[in-house]
Amino acid sequence: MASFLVRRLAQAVVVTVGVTLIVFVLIHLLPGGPARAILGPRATPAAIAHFNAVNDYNRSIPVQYALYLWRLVHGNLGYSYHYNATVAALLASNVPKSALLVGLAYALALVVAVPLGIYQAIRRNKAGDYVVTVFSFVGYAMPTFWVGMLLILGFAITWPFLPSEAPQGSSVGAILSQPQGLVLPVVTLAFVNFAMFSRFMRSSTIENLVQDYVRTARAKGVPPSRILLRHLLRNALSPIISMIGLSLPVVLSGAVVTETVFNYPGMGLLFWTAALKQDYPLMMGFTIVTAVATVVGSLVADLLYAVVDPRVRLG
Amino acid sequence: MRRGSLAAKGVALGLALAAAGAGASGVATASTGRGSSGGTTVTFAGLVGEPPTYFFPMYTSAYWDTGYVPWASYLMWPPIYRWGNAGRPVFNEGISLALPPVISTDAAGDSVVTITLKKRRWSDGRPVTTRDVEFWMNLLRVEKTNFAPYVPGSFPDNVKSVSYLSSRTFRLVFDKHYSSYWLTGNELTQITPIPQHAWDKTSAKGPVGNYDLTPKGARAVYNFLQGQAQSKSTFATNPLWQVVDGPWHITSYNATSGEISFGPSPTYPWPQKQKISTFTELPFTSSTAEFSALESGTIDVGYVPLSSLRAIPSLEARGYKIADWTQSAFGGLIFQYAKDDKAAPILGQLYVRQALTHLIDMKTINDKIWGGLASYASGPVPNPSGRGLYVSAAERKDPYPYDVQAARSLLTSHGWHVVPNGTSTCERPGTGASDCGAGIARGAKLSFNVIGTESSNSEYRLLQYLVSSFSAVGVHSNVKLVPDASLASDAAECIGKTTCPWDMELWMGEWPLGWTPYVETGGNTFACGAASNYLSLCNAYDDKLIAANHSSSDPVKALEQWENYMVREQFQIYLPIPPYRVVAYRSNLAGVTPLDPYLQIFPEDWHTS
Repeated sequence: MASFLVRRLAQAVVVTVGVTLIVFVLIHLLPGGPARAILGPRATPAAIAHFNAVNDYNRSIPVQYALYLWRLVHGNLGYSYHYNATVAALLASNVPKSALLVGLAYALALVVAVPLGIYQAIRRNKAGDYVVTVFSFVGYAMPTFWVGMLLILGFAITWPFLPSEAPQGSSVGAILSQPQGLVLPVVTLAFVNFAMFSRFMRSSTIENLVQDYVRTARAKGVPPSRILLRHLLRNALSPIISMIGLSLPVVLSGAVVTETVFNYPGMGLLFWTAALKQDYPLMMGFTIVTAVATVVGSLVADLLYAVVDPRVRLG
Repeated sequence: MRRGSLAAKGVALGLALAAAGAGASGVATASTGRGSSGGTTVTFAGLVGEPPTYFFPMYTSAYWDTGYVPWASYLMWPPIYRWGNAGRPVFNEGISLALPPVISTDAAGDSVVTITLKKRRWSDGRPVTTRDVEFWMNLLRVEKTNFAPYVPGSFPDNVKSVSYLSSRTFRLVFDKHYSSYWLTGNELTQITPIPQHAWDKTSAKGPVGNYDLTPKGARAVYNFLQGQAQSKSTFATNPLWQVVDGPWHITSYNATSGEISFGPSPTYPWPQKQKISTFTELPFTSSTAEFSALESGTIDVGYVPLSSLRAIPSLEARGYKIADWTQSAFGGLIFQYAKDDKAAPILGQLYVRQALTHLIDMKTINDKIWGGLASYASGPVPNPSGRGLYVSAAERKDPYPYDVQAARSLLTSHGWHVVPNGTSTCERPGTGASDCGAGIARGAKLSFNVIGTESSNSEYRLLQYLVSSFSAVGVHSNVKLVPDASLASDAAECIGKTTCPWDMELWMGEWPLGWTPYVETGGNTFACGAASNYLSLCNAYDDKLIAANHSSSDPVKALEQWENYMVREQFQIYLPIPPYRVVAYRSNLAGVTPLDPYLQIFPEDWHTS
């Protein structure tokens, strides 16, 4: 187990550095460059030159990358000239907010999707299965922004029960103090993800229902509920666990569409604005967070596999 | 069968949701905890994704934008001279901090400007004096290159001397004679008194002194203030920023979202008794989010995206009034005249530019793309809502009206073989009256590299319209689409170069005037070698007229001559400019209109009725 973790962590470092290198090169290949994007059309050549000198953009890309890595290992993620704040501060304030929004949505989606997926598998090709399938497909087919706008139209404008905007607090605590503002964005994101989770859960459960161990349990007279909860659920959850692990980067990197529609300034929107403004330090900071989250999510999924399936051995 | 059933159910759900939407009515009461219109708090929709993130009136280029300069800095520290009056792009003596400048000429023929400050007080009760102007000038002298509006050779480089004659009067002697318009609109508007008695220090806990009187001290003060200006978490609590001479001072700032609130300054001479107690600028992540908030009634002054104009009757039914916010700006299709550019000889021909302009139906563009809300001027001097002050008679109308036949005639009469929907070619090279013109070889094609953006749906449609219109006489366009953010850098990349990868670029509304310069004279945009001369235009007569704009004793006549020349020459095609915003404001909120063409806001004039 320990050697497995050491190996994976070493891989994680290599992957993260590799991702930063690729992204660093790619964003520097973008047309334009940050100076004009930030300083605007009226900036003088002197102002452009000054900006590039201050931010090292007048140096070669390899030198810039080396300088970036040097600062990175010293804990300096850089400074966002658009937001007038350190990248570390921006990530520290936005990651928890996105994690809250996306985490709640995923939790809600899972709470609904897992039992419904199992129900569909057991009632396969029956009316209940069809109803949930239709619901899932509608969720699958509808773009997130469309779901969000319909919910706003319905529950914030036509029947004004809920606010059209997410809470505007600067901390997770402040956001949680206005739970009504979270309802629509969380439901929007959950609705879209519910469809995915429920379909996977249904397929996985159907696959396990015909396995020998289920048939043997039935032959031994084990009650159906015990078969379901004790034997089948753990095995059927394997693909869901994999998806949860791979969802970690999404949790930390935010949901740009939902954040945009509900005026929720989280990580997704931060990256979107950084890309539009060619805010290189911020784009790189976002990339690192996403890369680390991807590696960690994959690792967590592997560990959880071992927990739910004794046949899996790490080492 | 199953698929059909699924589809039917999906359609039914969609119809049900659509029906719910169609029945939308009534004012929302939900709250997100933001300030509502209750009491005297007024909320205003800020810029999408660009809330103010900086506090210091000697702003750097990175903060030279609408969200900071006119919507935050000017509310607290206005410059001595203001423009924009009752919705017109003119000088506004009433809200200026100083009496109109007295401009004379000394024995050497140089301009001498004497300025007397009005009796105003800082919010801590101290009077606004020329020492505060001197403080500004001293900081500017040492850090001018960091001040966004600074252009080498202009203010303060062109100021020979400054005399502070009394606590309220000071005198500037310039290095030569300048036009009074140019001085008042583009130079003196940069002077911004800042509280020397509170800000002349080099550290937060250090004493206030006269550090600015030496260059070294001034630099130290500047660096200290710049550092404070970037400390977002202390914007609302930093005692420095509480000393203001404008109508508002900051009361709260959300460093994460950028939401900012202002309270009235007790020492400001308020225009009416019934003033609002809190003015809040709300940040939004998208125009969609802003419009949703507007529809649900959580904003007092917001805007309707151009794509949602059909919702206006619904908003009016919910208690909003609608007004167009026209801007003092110009834009259009710019041409490239770089010396060795292959298209430059063709675009350098007046008849070609005239033909291209004849192919564009300005009315159709206004009606079909801008919903009939755009302002049009055929030259570079803006004419917002037809109320521009310095717009000549020639500029008020379309000089080369939509006429495909006229365009075709111009080309054929100059030796071009016109191939509609193909590519026209030059058949008669030469410099005679009926030849293609200098530098154009036989077989040269009317084919151009055009840059535009698809980030904006309206601008993309406009680009398609232009390409389609040009093809009517065989003008072929090789279109390259770029992100909106890189339009400026693409345009600027050819400044000072002899060739350029683009021949035309669609550049809409990107030359807003205001927060200096207020008067378009061409000095920064059309003069040979100017910093923002994206056209690489070097025309001796144009330069002569621009120089006259800056120095003439008869500035109206000089400006008119330049305008008329630019209208006739069409160095770029000027297109209708859409409104900056279609504003929706609560009907019980008076004073919001007329909206300022320089995009400034005056919440001190707003009051509930």
